[in-house]
Amino acid sequence: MNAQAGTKSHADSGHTGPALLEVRDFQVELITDAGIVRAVDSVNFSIHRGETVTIIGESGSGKSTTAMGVLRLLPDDLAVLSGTVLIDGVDVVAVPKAIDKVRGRTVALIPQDPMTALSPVHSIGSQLSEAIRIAGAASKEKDAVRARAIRLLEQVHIPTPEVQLKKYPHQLSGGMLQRVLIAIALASEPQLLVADEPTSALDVTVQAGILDLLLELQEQRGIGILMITHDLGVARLISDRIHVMKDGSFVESGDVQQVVEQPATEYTRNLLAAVPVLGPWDETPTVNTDPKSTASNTTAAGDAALTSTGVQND
Amino acid sequence: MTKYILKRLGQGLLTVFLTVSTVFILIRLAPGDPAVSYAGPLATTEQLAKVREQFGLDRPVLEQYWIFLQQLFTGNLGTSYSFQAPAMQVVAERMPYTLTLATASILLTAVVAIPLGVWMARRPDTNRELGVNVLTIAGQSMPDFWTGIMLLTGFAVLIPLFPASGFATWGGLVLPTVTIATLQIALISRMVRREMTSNFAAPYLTVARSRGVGSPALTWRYAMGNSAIPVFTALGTRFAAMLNGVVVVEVVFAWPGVGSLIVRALETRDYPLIQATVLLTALLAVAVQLVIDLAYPLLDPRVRLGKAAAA
Repeated sequence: MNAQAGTKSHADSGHTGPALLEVRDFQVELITDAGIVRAVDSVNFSIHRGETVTIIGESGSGKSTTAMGVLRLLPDDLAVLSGTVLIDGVDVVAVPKAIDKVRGRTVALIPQDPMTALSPVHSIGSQLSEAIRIAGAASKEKDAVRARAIRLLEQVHIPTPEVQLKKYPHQLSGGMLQRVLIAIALASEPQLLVADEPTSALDVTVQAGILDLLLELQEQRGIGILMITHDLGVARLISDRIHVMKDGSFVESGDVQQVVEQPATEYTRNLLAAVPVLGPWDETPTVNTDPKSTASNTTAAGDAALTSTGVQND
Repeated sequence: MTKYILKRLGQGLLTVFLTVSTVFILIRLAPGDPAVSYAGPLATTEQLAKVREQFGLDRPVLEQYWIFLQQLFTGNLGTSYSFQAPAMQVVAERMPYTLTLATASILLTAVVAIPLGVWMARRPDTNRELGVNVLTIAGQSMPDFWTGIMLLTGFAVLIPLFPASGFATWGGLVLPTVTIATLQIALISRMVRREMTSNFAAPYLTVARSRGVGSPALTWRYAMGNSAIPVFTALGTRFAAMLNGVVVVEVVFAWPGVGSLIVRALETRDYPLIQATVLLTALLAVAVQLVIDLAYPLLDPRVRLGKAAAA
């Protein structure tokens, strides 16, 4: 991997230990009325500690199906999985029951649309406490669970967590709900986060805050992230590696900078061209030392900021 | 909240008033003469006129209505022609029987239909589920008098397990309850299945599964927690309807409730008794509906706390 200075300070750190997620020759076949559709075809990738790997592609390219398939969240009677998916060394394709031991413990999901991702008739506090009890990390005593719930909400920068615990999903904004969902995902101190278009349903300014938070958590805990997105701005900001997906397979894979600057395929070039304004990479560590502030500023200001300086970093 | 209750109470009382007024007019428009029923087919014209005068039926309809309204506000709807007792008292004596039957029926419905609907929703389109599905359609299609007669033939005549009629022992409650519940179970279980299926497919359930929530909690805490609102509403509405709508079953099983009473009252054109029955059942139905409306916010935080986002 030809690692160069990017938004992520640890982009060039070497991999130590086994992969958190190792996906080999992964296939998902969906059973539809029109017959069997191969939605994901022989996909290979891996994620190590502290890494963010992004699968980018258009709607219907199979990127979300890949993520949901890896977590075995597709309906068993409609989706047939094959290949190998090792989560923390356990093959969840070969041993379907194994997923119960890693979901909500080793691996957690940040869903696409926060507005529909929580049960509307249960309070934030009850859904968060449930995740804490499932994770089994903290004591099951009521006060201990509550204290941990408050701490988790603080970690995702939710103001007045005691008050928010009593609220119901319809009382919070999309951005706040996504923070709650990240707090729920963090309840088990997972090693791997699967983020399925975590910002697609949110306003641009809120998106920046959420991405910022994900980078911060990764920085603090060395979590591995599988990011699913159709947004190149998001992908460029937080990824170490990018896999470009089309019709169920990866058409291009590589270091984030390489894919953005020297796209090898027509499809990737079209994806890049679809971004309204796109200039060369301009964030050198000498200009911006704090990756986090760069992260939020860049996204908040939009891609125009990139073109205005137009500095090549190598 | 107080304002909401008062508003619903006002609406309810208006409903009751309109119902009894409509019935007052309709029974006088319908063919048949109370005096003939009372005095018998051989009565002379003079005798009939005397009876009409005694019942106040010789006065203009508007005047009768005015008297009825005065009675309505004093709670005394006059004397039943056929029972020769205060009409309200006759109905009130029958009311506990109907209440017992309706309560037993709705409980049996809930206890069977909810697990059955959940069972169907958890294995949609399997052969066993399709079998049960066909049975629920059959249950929905059978008229209750037919179900009642079949149950009577089977379990009171051929195999004399339960009494065929009346309410002398608690055993007498079984067959009419099962008859009423058969239709209701068919309807409610299909509703539970529909609600649960849509909640099983909801994004929040996938997300809950992703955080390790087990199957029982996904089914009962999440999917049922969200299905409970429409199911509870349907059960409450059906209960309210049973309070005046189990007429056929009460007649089939000679159940001493309000349903069989109103049949007799209609046959004899017993105006005060008809009006008293309608008044009491309408009051009860409105009261049950009010309880449902008040329980709604307890089940749904979106109603309780308003729709406005407060983030």
